[in-house]
Amino acid sequence: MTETKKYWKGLEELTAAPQFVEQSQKEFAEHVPVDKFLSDSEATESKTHRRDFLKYLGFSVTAASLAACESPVTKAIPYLNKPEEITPGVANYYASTYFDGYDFAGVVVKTREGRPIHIKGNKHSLITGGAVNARVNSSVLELYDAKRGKAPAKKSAGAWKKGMEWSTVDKEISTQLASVSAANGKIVLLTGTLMSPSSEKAIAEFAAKFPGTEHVVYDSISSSGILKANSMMFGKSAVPAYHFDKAKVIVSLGADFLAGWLNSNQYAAQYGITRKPDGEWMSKHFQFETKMSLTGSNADVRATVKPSEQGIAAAYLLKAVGGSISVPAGLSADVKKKLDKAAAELKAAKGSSLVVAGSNNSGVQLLVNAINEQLGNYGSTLDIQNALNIRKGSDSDYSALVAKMAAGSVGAIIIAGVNPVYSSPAKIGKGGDFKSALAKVKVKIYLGDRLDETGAECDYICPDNHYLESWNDYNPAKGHYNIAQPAINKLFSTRQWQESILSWSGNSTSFRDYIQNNWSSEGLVSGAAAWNEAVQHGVYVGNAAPAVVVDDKAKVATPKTDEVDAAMATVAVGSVTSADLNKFASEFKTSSSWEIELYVKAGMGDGRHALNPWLQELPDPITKVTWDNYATMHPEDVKELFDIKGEGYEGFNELYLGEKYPAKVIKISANGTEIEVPVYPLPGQARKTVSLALGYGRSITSGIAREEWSGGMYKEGALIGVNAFPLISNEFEYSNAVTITATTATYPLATTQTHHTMMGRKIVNETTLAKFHKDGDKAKEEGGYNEQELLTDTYGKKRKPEELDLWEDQGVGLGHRWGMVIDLSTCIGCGACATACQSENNIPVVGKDEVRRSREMHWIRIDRYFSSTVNKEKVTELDQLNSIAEYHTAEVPDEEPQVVFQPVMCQHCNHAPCETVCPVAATTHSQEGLNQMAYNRCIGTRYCANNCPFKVRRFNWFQYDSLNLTQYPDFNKINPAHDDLGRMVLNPDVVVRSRGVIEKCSMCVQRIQHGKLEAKKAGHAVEDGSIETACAEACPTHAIQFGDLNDTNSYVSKASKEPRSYTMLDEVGVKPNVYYQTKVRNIEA
Amino acid sequence: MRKISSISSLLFLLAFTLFFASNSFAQDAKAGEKIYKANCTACHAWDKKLTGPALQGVTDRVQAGAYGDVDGWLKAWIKDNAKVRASGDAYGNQVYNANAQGAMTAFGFLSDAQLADLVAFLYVGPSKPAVDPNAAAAVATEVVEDSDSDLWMILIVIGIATLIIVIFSGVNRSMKNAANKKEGLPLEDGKSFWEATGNWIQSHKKLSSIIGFFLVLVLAKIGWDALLGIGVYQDYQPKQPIAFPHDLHAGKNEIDCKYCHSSARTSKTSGIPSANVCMNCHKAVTEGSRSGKTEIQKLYDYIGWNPDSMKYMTADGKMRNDTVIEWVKVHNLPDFVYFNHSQHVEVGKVACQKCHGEVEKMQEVKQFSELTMGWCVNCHRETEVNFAGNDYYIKIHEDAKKEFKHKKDFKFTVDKIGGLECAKCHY
Repeated sequence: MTETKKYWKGLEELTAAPQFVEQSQKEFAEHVPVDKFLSDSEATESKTHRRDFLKYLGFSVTAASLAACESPVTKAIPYLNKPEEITPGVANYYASTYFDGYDFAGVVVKTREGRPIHIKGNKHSLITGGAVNARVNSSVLELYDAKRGKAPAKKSAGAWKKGMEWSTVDKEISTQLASVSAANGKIVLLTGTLMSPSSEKAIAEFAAKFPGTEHVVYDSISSSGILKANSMMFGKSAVPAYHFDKAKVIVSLGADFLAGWLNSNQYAAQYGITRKPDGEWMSKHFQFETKMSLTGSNADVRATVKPSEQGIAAAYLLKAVGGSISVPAGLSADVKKKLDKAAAELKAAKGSSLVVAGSNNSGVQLLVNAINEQLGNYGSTLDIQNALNIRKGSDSDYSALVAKMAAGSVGAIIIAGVNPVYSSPAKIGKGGDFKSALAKVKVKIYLGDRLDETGAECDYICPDNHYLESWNDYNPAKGHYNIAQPAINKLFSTRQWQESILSWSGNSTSFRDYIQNNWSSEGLVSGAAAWNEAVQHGVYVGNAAPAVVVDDKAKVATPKTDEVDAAMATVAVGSVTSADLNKFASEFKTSSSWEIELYVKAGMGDGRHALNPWLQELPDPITKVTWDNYATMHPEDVKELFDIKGEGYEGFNELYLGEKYPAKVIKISANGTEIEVPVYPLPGQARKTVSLALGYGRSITSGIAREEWSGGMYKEGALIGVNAFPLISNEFEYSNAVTITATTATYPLATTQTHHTMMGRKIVNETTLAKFHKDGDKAKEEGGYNEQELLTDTYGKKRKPEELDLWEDQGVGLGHRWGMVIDLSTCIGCGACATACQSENNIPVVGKDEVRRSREMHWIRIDRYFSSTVNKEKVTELDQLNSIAEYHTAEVPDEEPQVVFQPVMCQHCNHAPCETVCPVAATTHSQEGLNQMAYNRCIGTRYCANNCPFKVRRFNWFQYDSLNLTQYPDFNKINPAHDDLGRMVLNPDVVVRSRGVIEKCSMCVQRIQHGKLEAKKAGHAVEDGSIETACAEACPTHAIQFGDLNDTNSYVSKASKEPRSYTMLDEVGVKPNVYYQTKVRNIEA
Repeated sequence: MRKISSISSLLFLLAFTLFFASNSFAQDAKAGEKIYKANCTACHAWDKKLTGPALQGVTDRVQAGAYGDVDGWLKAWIKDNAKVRASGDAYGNQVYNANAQGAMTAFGFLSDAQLADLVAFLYVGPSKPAVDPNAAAAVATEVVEDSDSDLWMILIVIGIATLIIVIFSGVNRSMKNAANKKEGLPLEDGKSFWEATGNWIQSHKKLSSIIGFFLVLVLAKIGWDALLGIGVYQDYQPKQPIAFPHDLHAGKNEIDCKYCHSSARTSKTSGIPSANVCMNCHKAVTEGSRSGKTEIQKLYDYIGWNPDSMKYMTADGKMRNDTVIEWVKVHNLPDFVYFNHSQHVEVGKVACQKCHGEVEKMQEVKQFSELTMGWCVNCHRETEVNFAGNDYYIKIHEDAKKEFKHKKDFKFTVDKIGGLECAKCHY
């Protein structure tokens, strides 16, 4: 190879900003916060003398030991009449389904003593096949949100009357609805996409009771463009079923299908299957997009286009694959070159390729349909006949509704499952905003879960259940049915909205019975036994469906997709002619002005999770920023905008983000709205564009964000982030032309990208598919892609690191040796593992302020490395310099840098450096290969953290879980373990760590112990796959695999011996039990 | 801490035996009582209604009808009551209807002699254990014993003795001086006891340093033990809301521990049995031998059971769910310790008594073991792994044979497979 790669986590590392270098030398960025420990401001001002202090100390030590002698009386309160299925101490699992109008996933709810504590994927679900993203597996925490609506409320004379009785509210609402109906008034039911047959039946029943009822479906993140395009082309207003698992070539025009586009849970699982380099084939993925998205960061070839250029790119691609269309001008040569290449690959893989676009413009979607049609993909990689019912919302229906509301022709509105006051653009269609239109409606009933933006504008709030308290049924695709069953009784006096609708229609049936009756009358499932089985599995597959694929292990790479109607129909282009396509294409014009792209973050979705601290603290996969949204901008653009002098890298140093280095702030104006947001310089962003995440700035986050989180930028009523929904174009396009101006303000961002850095050591490994095939078994030899670093012994002989060892071997051969294999090829960096770990291991949330001080507590972090090319000659020269500070002279960061994700948790080294330095033997090694941490022994010297080469140890700076709210006021708003309700989510098998101790990944030792015990009780060996860590279980692409390295038949023991596998810092000789597999890119060189 | 001294229970037992030996009934009635206990008590009680009617006074109630006399009727009824009813016997059908037409089991297997015994028993009723006055007194004056008080008594005695020695030596000296003064002899110097002791030490340096050394050792040992005892609640025996006698249930009635503490087999906790488990038996057993109805009545109060009507008194006819029985937890492990009963009970086949002591002999349960980490670890060092018939251990056993083959007298104890590792119990 004539060139080599350099990996960097952020611009500051690339440029070796002095602040970064200084910071990176420290394990702990800050001094011990003594003032915080004392926290009481009076205490710091007290005039206690040394002698007094010693007296107090002596007294308190004595008092403490005496207090310890006091016998605590603990009560043991059994059930009076124990439910048969509950055994204290034994977990129960219930199949259910998550669908909030945005994310869909079959889930399994883990409950202990009747309370849900963890969510994982339901492997019986053929649609999502056990994949759940961070948003879904964190949803369990929202059940215990004390800020949910607790009882119906009514607004009278501008004030809320809370805590009403359901019967009272029902009577009043029924009367009001009846009077609207009697006066021939219009009643509108506004919901998100339902895809629930029984809910739709309930709505029909409601409409029968109140004639003149209209049901309008509105999606906060609309896919109306796709529906419209398919309606024009195939006469079917539907989202086709996509089969990424069958696509050998994938071209995405701005569709972030791994993080938020349509049913991303399903697509992530499908995509993962095609990314294994050792299979028959590996997919080749092209991405043309504005912001570096999660999907784009996984692409083999990526190019940046402005949002306005996406349509042009689609037209260009259509022409290149052989369609007849005239392409508008305006693409750069680089993009054209890559599009040509993509077209060539697509043509070579006709019938097994897939082109998708993220735009909500039906013209763009129509072009993409034409491309897929041209390539013969309909019937193989996408299927319009067996549509996916995940989005039904129509922008034009919604615009028409708002116009009618504004005209005062809507008598009553019932809003369920959506929050349009928050999530609507500033101007809808040709009319005004939703809020003022809503004010014109006489009767306004909100069936959301709390008093939020929309609730505040309504007359009644009839609080909805959490989905873990509700029954529901879903019909995601033809023949596929999912059931959502409650896993706990209702915590508050809430009622699921379907029951509210039914009760106003005069039907008092519980929704469970209603679903069962409906299923039975629809001929789906009849009889108690069949119904119970459907509920138990959470899914029901109709008669037309093929046999269920039982084996789930993606190790075998079985696609788990919608395969109900095997004979997929090929549909010819219907009424759409090439003249129509030309007409659409001619409307695409590139512009030289600033453009904004509004996107959805992997952690936040459309904003309904704003009060979920796990998701707020989950670092964004690309920017690694927590607790905020921000405008991403190309670093050169930032330099220009803020007039930063300094050649090349020197200028970037001013863009360093750190505790003492806040972000710059820009003002964005569009749609008559002006917002100020911090800027994040992001490599890989299209020039002259900014991208801003939706889902932030919820009014309900008021009071959580604190003064110091804003660096003085917040005024009264600070929120977490800024609401970007008003910037959506009035035609519901998630991009817009904007004016950008620089301001002098600054804003602190909490980014983890430079925390816990590996200091420039080579730890990620990647290669190309060509080299991977060429090297084969010789990968570890000299010149191989996975070349093992050799050490020179005293006699000048080159030796393998494992041959030179200072320590005696641990008893690694006896019994089990637990380990992991993490495939960097299939890791998409989504972060589902991090939140699953947080839920499983009771990891505290620390808040933005503490994250800024590098004190986040996540046991697993996903390192995101940008890489750029360094040329060989320079590197040889630099080897002598041996300094990261000099590296930047050697290379040019690509306009489109490549990205590698690497999940890093405790590596459970067999020769762990942390164990040897602990003065109290609090961290020790187990026979089974685990690096154990005994919290009660730890005295907090933090020597171990300093000696860990992987920087995976976390220190409890504070009592994050304290119930003492006055002592730690900073944490009580953000940490779920701070109130009695939030504590319900804690896993009772894992200790809650106290202040002053180190913690780290235990490899879910509680699950290992449980799995072993189950095997012992059953009297057989531990079966491979029967024990899974939370991260491995949550991984949608099965990139993380856990098992017994001593079991010769286990997946991990086989995979760890593959030539693609390596351990981090092999040359240090710490012998980790966590193996990584080299990332393979499907590119030529 | 309350304990019945072993002597008093012995006395009680003795009295009880004597009582049984000295009382005697008609031979046939006593045999009948045995038959009664073996066959009838599942449905009948003597003085109250269970599934069947109370048997007290049955000999007066029965109208013999076609069967001639009461005895005849009773024998025929017990042998095959359906036949009696089928014959159109008025009283038989009346009883049948009065008891919700619940057909009584036919006892055709009883011989005529046995029937005669049983009927004879029905005339006299069950023998009542008249309480022996001595035994009763022994129970009433439960000898209260405090194990800690022994040590304190010794310390106090030593203290008083020391004080007496000091005082007496002073008195002795004064008396001597007074006598000497009277007799004109030279006075002893006015050294106090402490001065004298000091002088003695000065003159016996070797001996006193040895004594001092041992004194320090003893004190250190006492102090060390006291520190080790902090947080150890061995013999903790709190008073429970219901005086549940384990000795009766697990001891006398030989109910298996895991009948009530069933989750010890499946869960980390052994589980305090829920009240519905109690009701499996206590629907029928409404009073006990010690405190009669009072303690069982507490259970009924918690769950709203009416033993007379045999029904729950709640509106929905189900067990109450708005009360709690606040048992006091006897065995408290700190929260940072993970202990799993099923691992020990099911896999390790450890008897409950190993850690909990002879609960079947305790009226009120007390903490038998120290429950310290040292105690856990010791057991793990001494206990051999129970391999037999558990395929889980095949591989690890083979591995271990290789690993430890050079060791003689090798015992495959729990610690050899990581039983002493931190993360086995702390995570």
